[in-house]
Amino acid sequence: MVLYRAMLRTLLQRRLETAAIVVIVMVAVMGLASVKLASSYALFLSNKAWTYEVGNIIVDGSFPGPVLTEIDGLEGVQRVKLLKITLTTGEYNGEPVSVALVYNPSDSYPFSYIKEGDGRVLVFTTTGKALVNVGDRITVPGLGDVTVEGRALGVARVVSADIVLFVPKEMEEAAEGVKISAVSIVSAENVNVSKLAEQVKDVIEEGGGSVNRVTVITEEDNPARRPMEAVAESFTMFVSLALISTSLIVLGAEASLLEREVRQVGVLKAVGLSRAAVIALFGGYNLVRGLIGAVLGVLLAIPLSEKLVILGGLGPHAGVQIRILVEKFPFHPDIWSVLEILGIALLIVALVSIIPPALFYRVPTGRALRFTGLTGRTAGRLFSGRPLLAFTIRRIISRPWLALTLTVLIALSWGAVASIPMSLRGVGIIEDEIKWYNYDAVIQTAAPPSMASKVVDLALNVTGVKGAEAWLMNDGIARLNGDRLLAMTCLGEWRLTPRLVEGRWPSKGEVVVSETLSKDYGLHVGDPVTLELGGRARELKVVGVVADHRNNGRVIFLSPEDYLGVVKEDWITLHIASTGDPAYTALQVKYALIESGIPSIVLSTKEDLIEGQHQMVSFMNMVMLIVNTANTLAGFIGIGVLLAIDLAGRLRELGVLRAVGFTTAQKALLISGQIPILSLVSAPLALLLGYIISKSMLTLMEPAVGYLSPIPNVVDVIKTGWVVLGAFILGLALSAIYLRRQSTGSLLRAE
Amino acid sequence: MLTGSIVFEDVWKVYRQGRVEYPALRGVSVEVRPGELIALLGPSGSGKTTFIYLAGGIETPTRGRVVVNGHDITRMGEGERARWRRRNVGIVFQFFHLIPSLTALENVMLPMILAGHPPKPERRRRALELLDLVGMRDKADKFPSQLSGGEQQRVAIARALAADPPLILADEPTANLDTENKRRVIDLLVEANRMGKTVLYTTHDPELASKAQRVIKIVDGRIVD
Repeated sequence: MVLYRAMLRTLLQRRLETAAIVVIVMVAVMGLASVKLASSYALFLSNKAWTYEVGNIIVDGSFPGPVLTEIDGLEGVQRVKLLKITLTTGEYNGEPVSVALVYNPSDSYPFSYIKEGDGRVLVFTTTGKALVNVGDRITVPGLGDVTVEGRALGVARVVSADIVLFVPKEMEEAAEGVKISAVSIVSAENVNVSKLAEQVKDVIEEGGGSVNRVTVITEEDNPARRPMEAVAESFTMFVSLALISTSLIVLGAEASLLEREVRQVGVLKAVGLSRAAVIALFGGYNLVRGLIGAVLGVLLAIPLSEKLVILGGLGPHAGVQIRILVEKFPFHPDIWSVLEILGIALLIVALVSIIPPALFYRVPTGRALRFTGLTGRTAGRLFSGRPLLAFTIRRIISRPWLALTLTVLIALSWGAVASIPMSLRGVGIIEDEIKWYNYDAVIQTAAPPSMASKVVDLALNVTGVKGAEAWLMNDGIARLNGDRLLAMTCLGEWRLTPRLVEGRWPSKGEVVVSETLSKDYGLHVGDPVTLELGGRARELKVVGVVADHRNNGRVIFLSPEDYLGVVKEDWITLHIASTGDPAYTALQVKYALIESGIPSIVLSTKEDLIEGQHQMVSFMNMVMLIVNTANTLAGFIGIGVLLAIDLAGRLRELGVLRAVGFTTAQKALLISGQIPILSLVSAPLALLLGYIISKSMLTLMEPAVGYLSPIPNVVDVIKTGWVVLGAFILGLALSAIYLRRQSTGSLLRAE
Repeated sequence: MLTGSIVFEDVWKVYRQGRVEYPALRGVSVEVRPGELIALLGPSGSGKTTFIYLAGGIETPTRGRVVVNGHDITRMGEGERARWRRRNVGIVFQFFHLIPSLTALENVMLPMILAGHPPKPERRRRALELLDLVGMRDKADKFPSQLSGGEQQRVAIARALAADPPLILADEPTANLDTENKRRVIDLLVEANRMGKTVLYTTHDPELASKAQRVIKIVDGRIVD
């Protein structure tokens, strides 16, 4: 009991140190808890928007009136929404197209098919097969020419048609065609949706209605889910780094305390305290500090999480405004998540609190009792006769725990900042690739792959087009021995693709590999290779080697047939190389395609693509800047805390130095001078950490960016050396501010 | 020539701990002339250390004026006093206060580096000469923790003499030493005085005080004799 009173007194006496550790644990736990709670809340809202907005069961068919009441009465049904639909055959760009005119009578719902743009006739972009631009005219039986006035956003296919338009009631009623309805059903929580969908179908059919199609929309299908999880994971990774930094600070603080109080450990052992008692006594300091910090951190994280979601507008929500969602689904922190974070934080603090006293207990009692302070003897005669340099270096060597912790903290902050150029250079690959491309415009068509040669021929006939290739829209992902590769294909002739250095382009069952893959895996023309395509292992034959140009050379080219097994994509993307103005030429190609009955839009010119990549780079830059700034700040706080602890343990020594004539600036330099010296050790560690952080960051963001690898460079570490300078200046300023307020007498009287 | 002189004019020093005040010196007025060897004699808690700290510019008085070597140090800032001490005062502490991570030789060299005197090439030679003077040349490369209390105090005296200051202040320099070492330390202070330094040392031992040319008695923060 007496010992624990002593512990309490020590905590109160070391107010500065206690406050610093409480604050840093609080900030780290607050970061971790708020990221976890905010990301889980943002995902919850996104899922709700995804399923609640349109419903998690969509049924189209015909429904006699009473059937809807019956569906509404089914157990597990929370809400039923009816859509009136007219299916007809209209005309678009002179070609016949299937048109669905949808009227939503359920205007009472707070958010329903959000409009983007004004107007009564909105094209529903999610489900329509044809690509229709605002301003385009569609001929509809019974209505004549209908002009598309805006776009509507939604999350699910409401009906099968080439063009889906949302129209007012009178237009839907006036249109000539097949009249059907669709209902969207929102199920209650924890209901087996598939089973409920079956029940709904039975009820409709038993009630005399008919069912054309039933679509079950699950949270798993939410397209925003994976990108959101990826962003949340990257944030979690960085706040976890901050927690590691905090643990190091707690460890370093306790170890450096024990480094100067070895004699006290000896005295406690001499009076008979067991290892467990010594650990409990010294570890107790930090556990109490950690507990206070962790509880405060979690308490602050709860309001912060909600604010983060609202202010950050985190996550795409099917076009539903975040404030509406938050109002409808208020934030309730998950108590288990809160307890889990609290538990993790306390466990880490407890672990790092146990290590130093357990180690220092091993110092023989006699030696501990003879300990007369830090001598620097371990440094031998290093820098003999050069007191100022010797003073700093020997101090560092004589306090290995403090030095180690400071070194790692410097490396963490430095590595976090150095990871930015590494990542950006990795991201820059995208831009380099686009510059490398020999096409300068992309046109998205609504044509299926079978029309590739027609589309290319139409394009080549346009004046100003020097080359055209039909590609499929998305890059596919394949794996070779677990290595992630980009799979690409070209429909028809391969005219604008990378240079083939050996062999030929692939047919079904064949593959062309990049030079890098050929070298790394020893793949040559004629060799068989087993690739994972679309989740299945396929054996293909290597028929060519292509020059590296994308994804650091980790690229394969497949035949269109094999490619379509990887990517479920059925529209052609036309790549165009022009002799003149790419924007003008691409527009002419678009008109040529439309005139031939192929709805198309110009996606972008090469400049647009580069601009798009710049935006992505800016986005990644921003994310990395935020998380790395937070990490660097955590590191700086840690460095500040450790220097303060070091300072607190050297007050009398500093008093003596002032008595012999040292100025405050000179003494602050002695304290802060440890940083540039230790940074020599931190530099290689920062390079390694920077690479690991960058690699993790890019991997976690893969769903957003696809394929990227950091490109480390020693210059990155040198260029970001300002972090060390910053830490040095911070240390200098903190020490000087503190020392200026202490008189020489008070320093000499310090214990 | 005022070098080595100390003038205290109605000096008060009051320490505060919370709301409680502890007067350490109560209106002390005294003058130490250049070249004097003075013992400040008094019991524990009488204000001897405070007197030394004020004379050395380590503390500032709550009231009154302290003029040392012709400088009114009460008007100087902390940094200015630190720079002033480099060339004007050498201090010897009761608990030696050597820098533990520096060897005996380096501890002695430190004030010379700060004072920029003597010139760089001569510093090592002078530090060794001073260590020779105090009988510690053979232990020049030892760290303080490898030295006995008496040896540490002798190194501390060498350090105080290093920058050749006109004034040497010693706060209970013999308090933690055995009889033999007490004698040696006092002899060194006498030797320093012979070298022309003004030496002021504190003690609670009348016998040690008798080695001085003049004894100033202090009780409860007041000069009594």
